[in-house]
Amino acid sequence: MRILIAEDDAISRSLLERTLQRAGYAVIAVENGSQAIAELVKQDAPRLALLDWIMPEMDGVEVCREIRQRKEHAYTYLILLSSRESKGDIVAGLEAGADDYLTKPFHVDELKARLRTGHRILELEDHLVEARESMRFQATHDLLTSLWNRGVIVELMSHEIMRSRRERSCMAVMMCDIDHFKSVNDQFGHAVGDEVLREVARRLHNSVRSYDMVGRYGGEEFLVSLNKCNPGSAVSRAENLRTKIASHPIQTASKPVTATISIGLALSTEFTECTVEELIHQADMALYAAKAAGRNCVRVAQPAGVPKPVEEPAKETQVLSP
Amino acid sequence: MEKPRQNDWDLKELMERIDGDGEFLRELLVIFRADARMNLEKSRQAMAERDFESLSRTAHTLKGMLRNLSMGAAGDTAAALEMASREDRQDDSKELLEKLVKELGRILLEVEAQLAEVRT
Repeated sequence: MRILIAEDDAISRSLLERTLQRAGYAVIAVENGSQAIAELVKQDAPRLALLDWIMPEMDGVEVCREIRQRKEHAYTYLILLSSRESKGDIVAGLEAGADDYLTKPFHVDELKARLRTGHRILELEDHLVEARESMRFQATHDLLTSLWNRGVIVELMSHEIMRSRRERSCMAVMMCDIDHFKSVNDQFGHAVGDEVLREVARRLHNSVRSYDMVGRYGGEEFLVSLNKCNPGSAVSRAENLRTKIASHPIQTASKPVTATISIGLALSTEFTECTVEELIHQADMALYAAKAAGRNCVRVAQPAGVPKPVEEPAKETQVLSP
Repeated sequence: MEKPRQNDWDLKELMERIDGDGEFLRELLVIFRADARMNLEKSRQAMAERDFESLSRTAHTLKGMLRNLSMGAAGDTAAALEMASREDRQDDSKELLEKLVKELGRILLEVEAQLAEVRT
């Protein structure tokens, strides 16, 4: 593990450096508080630091205060080194954000034991952060496909639609549904059905730009939002998604499965008064039209009227096993 | 010049703390020889200029290095000097600095002897 030593006295610094190197630490040694801050705010900074109390430029207590004010980094365990023994000084150091303190000259075994305490605290912190991140992911993502879940994709789209109206740009909403998905489950079982869902999700996700959004809306339905989209190219981009699924079979543990999707497309610029839920509803209506037209095709929602065909009449495409 | 006293420097305790590493002892002593002289000079100058804040800082530095090298008695004198000068007790500061100069003189002799021994 890496550790920072900030100590202006060369003898104390050498003693600490040698002791810690022998205990297996990778040591970064600096001579004052400003240099300590510069090291501790780096990406991949050491998470353990021994700071001398009195140093030129910036003392150890100021370093503690500064580090605690910055919350963007992972927790750093700070130990103040002091020859001061007065309770008032110790309280001031701890209140500035130090986790512990050691009096100089240090006792080797005590130093090691206090650093082990630091390790325990950092491990605990890492576990908590990991658990929080995992819970955050689970709360916002679909567990099977790792796409945004329904609640989150709709919320993200509602922010995006407001932005697109402010910026007078177009947001294209696509409701995509796997054709005859029930027969995949019936023919090959739910495990293969899950593999098909995962692969369709992966292809959709990989076929859009990083600032577009893809979510799982329901069973075999996916919601795609193309942000800042050129309205003229929305249809061809929807076609591109459709062919990404239909063009080659999905390799599953059982056997390759050919899948297709139908897409209903709605453009925010065509429905300027709609809420995001209404726009999704329009895309859904266009999806019904695509299904009715024979599946494996794209239909575009029109403000008043029948969804428009965008290609030659689509052929009914069954889910086939080769 | 005074002769080194047995209790000025607990070399045995220092060697235990650095696992008997003679080469490292030498490194520390070379740093000490230079830094101690420099800080002693700074202390004298601060005293001459009646700059007690600066005197307190150099006494603090000397205290740290002396205690780290198991030179406890002189370390205590430096601690007392740090406190006296911080509290602006001028007579006490003067007296303590004189005491520290004597103690450090003896210690530096011991350090020189030790360095000569390590070399041979």
